[in-house]
Amino acid sequence: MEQKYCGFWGRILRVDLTSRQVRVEEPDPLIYRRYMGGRNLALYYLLREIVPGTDPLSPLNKLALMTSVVTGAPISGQARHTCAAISPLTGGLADSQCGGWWGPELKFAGYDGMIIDGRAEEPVYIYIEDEKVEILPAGDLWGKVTGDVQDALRQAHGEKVRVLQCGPAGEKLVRFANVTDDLKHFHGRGGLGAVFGSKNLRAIAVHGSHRQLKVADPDGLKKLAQWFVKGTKIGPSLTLHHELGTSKGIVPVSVQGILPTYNFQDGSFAGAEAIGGENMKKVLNGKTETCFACAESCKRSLEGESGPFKVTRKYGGPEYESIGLLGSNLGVDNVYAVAACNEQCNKLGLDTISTGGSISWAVECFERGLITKDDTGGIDLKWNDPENNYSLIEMIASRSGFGDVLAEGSRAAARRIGRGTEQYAIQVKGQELANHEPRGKWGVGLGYAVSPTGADHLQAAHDPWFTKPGKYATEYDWVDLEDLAPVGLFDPVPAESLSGEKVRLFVYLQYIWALHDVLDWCIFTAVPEFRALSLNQLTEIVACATGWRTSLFELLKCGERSVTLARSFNVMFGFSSADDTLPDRFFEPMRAGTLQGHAIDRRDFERALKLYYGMMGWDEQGRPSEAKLEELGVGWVWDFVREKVSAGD
Amino acid sequence: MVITVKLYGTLRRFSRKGTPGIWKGDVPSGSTVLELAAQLGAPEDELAAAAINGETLPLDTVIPENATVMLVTHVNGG
Repeated sequence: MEQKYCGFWGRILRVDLTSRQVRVEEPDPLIYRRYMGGRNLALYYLLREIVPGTDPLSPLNKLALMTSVVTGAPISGQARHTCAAISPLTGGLADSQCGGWWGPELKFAGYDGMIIDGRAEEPVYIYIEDEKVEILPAGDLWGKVTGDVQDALRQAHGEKVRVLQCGPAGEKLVRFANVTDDLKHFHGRGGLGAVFGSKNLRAIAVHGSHRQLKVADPDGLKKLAQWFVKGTKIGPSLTLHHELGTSKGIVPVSVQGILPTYNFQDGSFAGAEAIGGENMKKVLNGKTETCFACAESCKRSLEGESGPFKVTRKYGGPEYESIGLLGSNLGVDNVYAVAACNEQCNKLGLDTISTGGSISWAVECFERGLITKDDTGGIDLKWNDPENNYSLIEMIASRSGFGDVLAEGSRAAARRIGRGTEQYAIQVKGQELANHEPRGKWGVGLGYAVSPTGADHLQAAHDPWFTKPGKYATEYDWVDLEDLAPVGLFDPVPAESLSGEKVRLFVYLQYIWALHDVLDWCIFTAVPEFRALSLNQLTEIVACATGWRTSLFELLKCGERSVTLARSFNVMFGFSSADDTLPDRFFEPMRAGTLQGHAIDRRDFERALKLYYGMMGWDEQGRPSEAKLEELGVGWVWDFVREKVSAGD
Repeated sequence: MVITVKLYGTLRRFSRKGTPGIWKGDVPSGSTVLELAAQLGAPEDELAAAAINGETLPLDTVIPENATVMLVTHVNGG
């Protein structure tokens, strides 16, 4: 089979699990130019094909799995892919980008993406080998941990097969069940694993033979790839990230007072050094791992045993978010326990963030006497009780006992129990906050509030980087604001501010971050926090892959397009400005830590929301205007939004 | 006076050889955190915060004898 276009195939695989029909759709190449891939391409399909009000766990929900025009190219940063659907956790958009191997492999099989409809009568998995696409029985895989399923599929189809799968938690429709790629990479958030489970779909195994994709300028791409490889050897940020990965952040963030601790009551944790990346690497013999074709190699694998906690290399190692949510935010200072609880989540297919956030909600409520042993089935809940947490993780995944309550997520659990427990559910739109305390970086708070997927820390780069003037240091080490000069941002803004300048900074950063989600590009190889590939180099990469005479303007518009498309999707599902909020806790003084007494100013926050909507071209209810949709070249979406605006919803 | 410095984030590159993340040595009595950073060669712009004996304090704080100082940069997770 010949690849018709540079950078992409022009082929989307469609699988209907109800009718067991498989077909290939060939979209117009201009669709790829306008949407480019990832989140945009997923939303192009989901907006058109999903009926508002659809139950996320019904056969009418659709799974969109997408790559982009740069996925699979021989350069660091391109290994991610998108998974999107209606979220079982929030009822709005679930959209996630996952690193690893599966996305490039799908591309090597000759597809840019796939849409999965319907529900199989019995458990199945999908096997793809180039043109051969089969829906095969998975009855003997059902109920098994992720590692066993991966082993079984590799035994059946060869060691080179790449496996994307939900875990037992997805089968049980846990609302924050995740999807894993090769056991160590995750679509963590939004409950996409439950969508797999609701379709009786356990896994998608793929192997492709077209391993050298056609790109327009291989020499240009090679030069950019080599520039980056050199940076991984001499750039201070890149070498550090290679050495420790995201786990490097725990101790610095604690010293700064923005490490979520005890369910976001405090911002500094006495046990931070014990669970931080430096100690974790030492104690658990940390080794680096990587995604497809990436020289950065920032992933971990760990190994060790202490008391009841055993950690194996098979499931990788915890990232910064998991260390916080299963560590400091539960008061846990045992590094073995944090890594073992992470592994337990990975085996069972649970999002570590929402798992930890749901348990920490329960612990705080128990401590305050709002939840009792009558609710928990006799279990005492307390801080720094990792053995209990380990058991609760299994109970959540199997929906047994109190685990069945937690499996709905903290918002739904609090609504069920009542008694004032709702205020301690640290979530937005039903999704638990990640490991970032917004009282020390207010722009992150704005991001949590307006994120279309519920609380999400990856809406934009975080405030602390932009509090000092940009200063060029060396080729691989330029400082923060300097990276944003090509989009016209030069002025430092305090971290604890939601001024007009801060909102403008956030909006532009959100376009940049959204562009990464559209291109399925890894933020750890690019601007601005990691001082690696610049925005202009990213533009060159797209040009080299596709042959398009593109520009940074076109790419940022593509990022903006995805933000407004995601917003439109949620408007279709009844979301409004009332959902763009934060838990009350963040408008109240922090209890302890470096930032003790600090709080977000509620009036500043409300003003910032209005400014944000205005800058985005949305109305006061946060709904995209017809003019903005037309300006972004997606006027067709207005038909979906207009109905809600006319109804005054 | 002799102090122990724990270095985090990109400041780890100023560690003593053979002890990643640690610098142990002499600094003049009365040195502040900023003066310590200058002695190590760490750019002031890169320094986000510091803790002395476990307590986060302003960068112009004078370091006491035998102190353990933590120097950190801005680092995010993801």
